[in-house]
Amino acid sequence: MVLLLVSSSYIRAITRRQISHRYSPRNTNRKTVIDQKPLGLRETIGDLWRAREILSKLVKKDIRVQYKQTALGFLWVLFRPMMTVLVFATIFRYIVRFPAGETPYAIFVMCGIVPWLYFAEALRKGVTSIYDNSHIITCIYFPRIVLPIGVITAPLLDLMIGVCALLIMMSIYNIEPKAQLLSLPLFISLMYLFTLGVVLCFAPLQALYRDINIIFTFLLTIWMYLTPIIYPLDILPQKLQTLLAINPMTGIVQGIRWSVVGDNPLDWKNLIVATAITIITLIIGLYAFRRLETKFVDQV
Amino acid sequence: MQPIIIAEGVSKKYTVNDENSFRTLRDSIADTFSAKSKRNRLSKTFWALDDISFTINAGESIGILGRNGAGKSTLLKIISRITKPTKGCLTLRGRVASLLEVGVGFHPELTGRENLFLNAAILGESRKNIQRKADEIIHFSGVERFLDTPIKRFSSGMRTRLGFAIASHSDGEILIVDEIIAVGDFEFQKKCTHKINEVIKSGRTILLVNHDMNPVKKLCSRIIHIAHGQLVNDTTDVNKGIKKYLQTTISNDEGKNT
Repeated sequence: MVLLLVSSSYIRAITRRQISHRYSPRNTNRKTVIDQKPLGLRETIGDLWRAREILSKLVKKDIRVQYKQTALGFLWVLFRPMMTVLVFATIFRYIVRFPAGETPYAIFVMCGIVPWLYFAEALRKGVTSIYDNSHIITCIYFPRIVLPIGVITAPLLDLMIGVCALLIMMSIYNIEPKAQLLSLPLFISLMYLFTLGVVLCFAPLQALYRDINIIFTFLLTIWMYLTPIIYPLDILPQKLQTLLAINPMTGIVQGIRWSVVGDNPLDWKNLIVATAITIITLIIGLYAFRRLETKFVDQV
Repeated sequence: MQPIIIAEGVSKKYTVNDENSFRTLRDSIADTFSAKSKRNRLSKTFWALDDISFTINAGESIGILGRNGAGKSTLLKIISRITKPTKGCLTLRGRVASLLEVGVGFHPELTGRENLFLNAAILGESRKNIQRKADEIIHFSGVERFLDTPIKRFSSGMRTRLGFAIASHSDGEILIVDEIIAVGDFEFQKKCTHKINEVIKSGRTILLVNHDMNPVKKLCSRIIHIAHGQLVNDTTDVNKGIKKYLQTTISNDEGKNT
């Protein structure tokens, strides 16, 4: 009861202070005008900054919830990439026989699979992030952009564990990482930003049209084979190589492979293409999200 | 006194589809190729709010009355920034803590305590504030014993108690309460009313929607009556306002519901 009194008088003190300062120019940013126009870019960024608390809580929630009530729990993070690698390594090592240079094929595949698993997971969850949380966004206001951002941030932890598994595998094969391993975070950031761009474009659309999610399910399967994950890019004819370079994941996976194994020179051209497309996707994504935000709240 | 909410000609149009409530991509593609008249036949527009204007001063406690579908919730949604008005403009000074529904964003797999922090963050509280008030919130909710159980094992009443406790301890200058006092047992309802009274006394602004007139009589200092999306009555004479509202309901509907 004392606590209640103290807190209410505290609140009163705050409110009073705000009332007395209300006309000072410093306090004008507390004024909110609601009309039919979508939020400006600066307001969006300001909103996002104020919502960093929500973001961190949402990421923590996603991580905590992911393996609740599973018998193996956190071990799944390790098992999933390992099992995928095992399947691909067996099929393509003994049946298709892709040449992977000096690198053992299992390591070669794992360098591609670990980032791909992140990309596919983040994309699938990110695209439905608005729709999955439609109950929240129709009941309370907060910058909705934190939903897709949070959903694609949480699987970064899985990615990190996957990278650790990769390093362990490398030590089993007696491959020592080189100095360029330090550049790995750069490539991962690029992949993160590209994922964000795509998700920002399509999450609002998924809220309006449920078709998007279905399209993405099989698009991701095709996309994986259009990315040099299980095969090295240079076994393809030159024309196809240029075509695949338009896929930003090509440059990103190649970059990650270079940074982890590093027995081939870095393909700068593909990396620049990947960066350019990432920037374009992000700009389109931010624009689309702001434009559709007013719409999907009413129609989700 | 200082105006804290200014509404100028706020209107909200919804499109009501007869066939189904959502549209698929195929529908949109089909629509672009089909004649306009056909599209208009399928979807009707509906003004949930039509040119609403009012000014609310800091510290007022307002009861918003109106029958189901009159536009109360739409108005509250616009004030809470959830949805944007189709026309008009609304100016707010201060943060809105809105309680359109309690326990928004509760995740069933997380424990009560984890959900408390998650929910408070979604409501816009800062980490410091949440930590400072956590004990008070827990005490108020009366679910201490189950705090470390996943919330899916909570009864609906317990969930509501926790949700209300979190939201009512928010620091927002404007508190929006939509028909949530009616939940919970008698003792908790009393507690809620008491808490809201306390918030009013602390000088904050409250917008209250409730179909039970007793709390409205007890708590509100002004009545805003909405019917068919239009402002019918705006008065500080609470008793008269309620009387008029009840009369219109009965005469319109011959006592079908109140």
